[in-house]
Amino acid sequence: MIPRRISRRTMLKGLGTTAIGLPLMEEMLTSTALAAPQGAVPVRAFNVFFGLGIPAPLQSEGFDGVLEPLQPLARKLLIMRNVDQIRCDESGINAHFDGASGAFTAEPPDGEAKSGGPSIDQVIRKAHYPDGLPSGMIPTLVGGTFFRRSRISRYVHSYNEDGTVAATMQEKPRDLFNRVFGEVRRQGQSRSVLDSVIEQYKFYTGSNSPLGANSKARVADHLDRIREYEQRAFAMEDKRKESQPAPPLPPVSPLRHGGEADPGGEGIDITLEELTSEWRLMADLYALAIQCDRVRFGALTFLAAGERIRLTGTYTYNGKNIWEFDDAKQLNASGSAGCSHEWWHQFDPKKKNEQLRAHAHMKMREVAYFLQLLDGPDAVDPNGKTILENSLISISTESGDGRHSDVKRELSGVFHAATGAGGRLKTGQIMDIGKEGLDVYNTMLDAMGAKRRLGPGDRPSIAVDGIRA
Amino acid sequence: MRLASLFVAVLSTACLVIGGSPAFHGVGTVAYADEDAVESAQGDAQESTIADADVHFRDKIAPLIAHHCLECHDAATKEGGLNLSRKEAATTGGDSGPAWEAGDAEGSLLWLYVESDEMPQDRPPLSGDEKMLLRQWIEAGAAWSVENIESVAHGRGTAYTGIRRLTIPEYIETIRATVGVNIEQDARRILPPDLRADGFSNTAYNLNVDLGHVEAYARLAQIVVSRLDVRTLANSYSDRQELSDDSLRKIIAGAGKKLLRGPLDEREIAAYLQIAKSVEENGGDFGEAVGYIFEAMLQSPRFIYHIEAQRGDGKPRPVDGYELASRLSFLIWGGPPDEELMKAADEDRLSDRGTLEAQVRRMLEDPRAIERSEQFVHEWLNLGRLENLRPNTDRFPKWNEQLAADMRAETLAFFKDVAWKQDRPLADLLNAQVTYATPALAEYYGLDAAAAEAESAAPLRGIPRRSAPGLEVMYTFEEGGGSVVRDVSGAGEPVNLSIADTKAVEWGPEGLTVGRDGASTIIASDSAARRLIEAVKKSNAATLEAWITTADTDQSGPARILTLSDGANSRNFTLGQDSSKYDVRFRSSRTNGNGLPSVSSPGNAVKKRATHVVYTRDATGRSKLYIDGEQQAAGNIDGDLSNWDGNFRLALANEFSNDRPWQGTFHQIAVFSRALPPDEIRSRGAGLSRFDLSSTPSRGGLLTQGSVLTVGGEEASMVTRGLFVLHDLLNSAVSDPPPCVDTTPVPTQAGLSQRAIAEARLANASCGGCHKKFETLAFGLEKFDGLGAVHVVDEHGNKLREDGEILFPGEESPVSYETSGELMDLLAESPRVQETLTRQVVQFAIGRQLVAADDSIVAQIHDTAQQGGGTYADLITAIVMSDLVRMTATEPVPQQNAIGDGP
Repeated sequence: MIPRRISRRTMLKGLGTTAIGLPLMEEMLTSTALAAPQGAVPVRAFNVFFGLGIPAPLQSEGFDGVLEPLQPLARKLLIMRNVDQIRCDESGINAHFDGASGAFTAEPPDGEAKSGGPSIDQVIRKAHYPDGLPSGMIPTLVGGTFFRRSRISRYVHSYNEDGTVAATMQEKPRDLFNRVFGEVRRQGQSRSVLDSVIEQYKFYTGSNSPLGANSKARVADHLDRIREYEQRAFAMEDKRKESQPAPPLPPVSPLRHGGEADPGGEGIDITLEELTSEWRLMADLYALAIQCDRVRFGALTFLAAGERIRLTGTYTYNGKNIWEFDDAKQLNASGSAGCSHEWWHQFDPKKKNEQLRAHAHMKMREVAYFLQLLDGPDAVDPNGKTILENSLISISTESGDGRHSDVKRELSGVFHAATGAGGRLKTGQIMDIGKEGLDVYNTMLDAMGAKRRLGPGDRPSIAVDGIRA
Repeated sequence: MRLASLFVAVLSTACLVIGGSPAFHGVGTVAYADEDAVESAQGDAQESTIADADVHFRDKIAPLIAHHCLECHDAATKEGGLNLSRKEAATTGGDSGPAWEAGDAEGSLLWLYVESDEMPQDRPPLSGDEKMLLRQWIEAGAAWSVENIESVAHGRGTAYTGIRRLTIPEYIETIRATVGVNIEQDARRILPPDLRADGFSNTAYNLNVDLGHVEAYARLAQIVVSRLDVRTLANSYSDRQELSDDSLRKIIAGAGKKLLRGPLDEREIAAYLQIAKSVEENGGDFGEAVGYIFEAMLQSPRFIYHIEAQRGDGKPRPVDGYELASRLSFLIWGGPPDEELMKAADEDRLSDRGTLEAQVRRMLEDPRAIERSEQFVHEWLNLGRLENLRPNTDRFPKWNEQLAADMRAETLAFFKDVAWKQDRPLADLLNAQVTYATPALAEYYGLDAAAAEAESAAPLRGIPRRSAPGLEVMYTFEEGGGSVVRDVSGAGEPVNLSIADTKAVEWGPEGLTVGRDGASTIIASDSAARRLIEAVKKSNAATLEAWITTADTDQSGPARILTLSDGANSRNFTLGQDSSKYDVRFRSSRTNGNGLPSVSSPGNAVKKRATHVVYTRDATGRSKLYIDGEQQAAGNIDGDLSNWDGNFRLALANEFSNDRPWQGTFHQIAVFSRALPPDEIRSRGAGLSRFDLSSTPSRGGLLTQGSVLTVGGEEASMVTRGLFVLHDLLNSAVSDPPPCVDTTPVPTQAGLSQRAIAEARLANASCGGCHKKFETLAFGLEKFDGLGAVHVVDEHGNKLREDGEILFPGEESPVSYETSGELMDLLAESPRVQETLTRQVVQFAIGRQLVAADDSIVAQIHDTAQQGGGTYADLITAIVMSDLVRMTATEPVPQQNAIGDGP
């Protein structure tokens, strides 16, 4: 059963399935929301990733095909086709991984958990908050519902300047909740101990530090986390004393996570209800974190690159039966050979590709679910527009094909979409770009006021002016 | 780029391994053994120009050629007679003559073909930037600096140059080694996991920190301090336990040096003193102040990270004594320096090669070196993957989770045997004719149980035993040191045991040995084991389980192995050794207070080897004694347990009267509040036995073990297995599949075996060029199914084979083999495999992926290790003695920050 949507309103009333003591919650909200000038709309950027991609021929069908679930949001989205990620190819690996690493970075991987450069959300974060986000705010939130995990870049989609992952993946709704709203208890830790620890980290980030630049950056990152701990464990202690007993946390996830979720790359059996229940709770919480201005940057993943699931269940959309998922049976195979990933292998533009279409359609339905959370009455910014309209939300995937047989075909025509970013980008269009993802991203960065450009320094940047408003 | 700066670059990628180093964008191929050579190099501008060109070739041109050309122009394919993988062949040219004219791009065939997009044939052309690089290289003289470019071509990233934090195992070991607290269970529960990247979970760039880490470090510091006798610890640094600066300074300096792996400076001492002042101002006492100081130290960056001085003049420098001590100890032991290493650092003796070598030899004899090597194997072969296997039960009805654990144990025990007990070259891991298996795994593999070596059974130490219902206390003796044996049952408040005289015991990889030098002691709970007593009384049933090795088959008394009692004549239960028999006294309402009459095994049951002894008493009073899974005695202990004394303590190795000592090794002890059934006893007692495989030709070596064979998935994919061998044993790779090829795996069927499908691919012009480089590597494994069982026919009745041929990367011709055994021999003898094993160990040792700039120094390490014999110990010694460990780069202080303004 898909749980009731969790909104900011229900959260504040403590009526949802998730909540914490209200005074503490309100303290969290006011401590961050008031950090922005009254009435100002904060700069936000998020990357939304979905696994396995949409073959270019299906993208060309527009909202008549697998993109149908995005149609209700069409006015607020720019859908970009024919975007090339070819430069992300890493010979001898595979396009799932290369493409996933290149999504939002336009760079090939530089390791199994490292991209060749930063992701667009992090470039924007650094440009607009060079001295860090307001105290107590989560610098970057990375969450997702996914199962394939042989390489971290398959499912993490927010990268620091040096290409390392920008934040720890929160893969269980309860963990994400705790990361954003959870109480951090000092458990008797002395203030003097914490002060001493902070002094030590400050020294190693200061000008007398014996460390090199990269090391200092890492220690500085650690210090930021300690500051957050300090804020949540100490600064809110008085508020916590006044708070009511905490209502229940999100339910414990019934799904497998961690290594168990990816048994030797052979895939897992999962029902559509299990999958979407978990995802929607995750999406609710992530959206709530944005609505409450606890988070302004990060990434959310719905199924990993090269995802391997054997899905079962009746898929309906707008009351209409779309498909009966039963991957293993329809593929007549077990293990990885019975996973939905095989439909991408078998894609043939001359055939119906019914199974692939159903999977891709379902993914768009779920991506749209998240986007709509940022476009409702709970998500209205001071300027009267919704968070969806005011933010840069990039939506992408790993591959334009999935047959693993032609890098050019796999990494060309990769699906991209973006929101209007406060009127900076065009919306309400499906646009054939015919350019590299790198140029698209750099144009987005320019529109967002970030001076840093992705990609090799000696490569001339080609503006894709057509996407700018 | 000057050669000296190249050297800096080499080290910049090396040192952070273990400590920190600055970021350098250049990379070099030359590493020097001492500073004289560096200085010499600094003056040689001409050489540096050459080196510039060499580096440019290695980093830019070689990958370009390999990526675009080697599919058709490597040693094996050599289209048009042109082999571009090796220097000599490439410069000679092909059937049409030289591929290039140095200095003349327009006169070079290579350029003309590439420029016109005629090459690569049927593949995407080179980009404009790539073409420009190629042209400039030819125009500049076409310097070719790498003998064989095939291995440097694929997936080589950039070296991460930031500091590395402790991994979870390093954190646990550092706590244990510095303050004697076993924090393993708490640390593994509280700390976010370290995720695997680039083959290992100690990859520095991926060891980042989130809020969860900060919370965990704070919480763990509190737990550690709560388990410390703070005053006693402080007393070892200062006689005076008072809140005076003088006393506290001594404690901070002494304890800080140990915890933070080097002396503290005045700034640090003052900062920790501030904590004491704050405690004093708030009315706290000395113990509280010292506890808080320790807490702060345990969260300090100097504790959490490998911190080294990275600032300097931009030139490489030898690491100082303390830095080297830390590098050494974490590399060999996975933990901090011991007192001897710190003393050598104090006296600045580690810069002396002889002293350093002596330290390495000493450290390699410590059990921690073995444990560290097991961590390497576990990571390298990704043995944690086995825990998650869930194959289709219809297809693999014999599979169960315990088999996965047994496979993991097999590989670790095999490695210990070959690398440590036999001290053989690492390459022998590929073909050593020996393995270890539990009875269940032996049956699964089809090994003859009679072939098990009788004296080899040992419990599955280090292998998580699934928690069983009714488990009340459990001791696995994996603390490795200290005076406390921890109850790891997880069943309520732990019943920890204290060792009365630590001089009488010795910790080792096999457990805790009591009776060192003939001394005896008792290992007992500090208070009554009430939880255990209540649980057993409530159920009226119990199981006493002991994995032990006696040191003396004549000891009697009975000599107390496990007892819940208060003296020689009063007990709830006692498991003991009475000369050649095992004897159990178990109190009930029908026995006397001494638990008599007892249940005893027949004579000659006690053997001087690891033995699994289990006593069960069910709720009806039926009692049984099992030795190594076989019931050896039975009796009735009727009545109930209402007369059990709730005040008795639990003890090992002696009676509370101290006159019934037992001498031997404890591997594992457990007590249950239920009677285990025979099957469960056999399963729990299924230790590993050593099997000589010299007459079992189908098995022998890592590749024939289930832990590795399962990489191919349920389908036993030859592609996946072949790629594993190619990547992980031969350090090579192939390009992506060509366009328009359906890569969907073809299912087997009657008349179509995996081999036949593979051979069709090899015969296909679009596929065969690459597939012959890796898929044939798996032909010798065809008889092993996806989960490691051997068959002669597949599920469709197709006959399975094991012959094939192997094409080593960079070689022109394949080598044939008839059996899997021959394939294993070929791999073991291959220099390429030996080099790859070296690379894997080096990567784990330094904590980051190797990059092209490391090739030269790694080659030196490999040569040195091979000359020494090629064993694990030789390799570790060569790594430590190399500049990879002994030198570090420095990063120039930025001009604007040259004059510091304080933190």
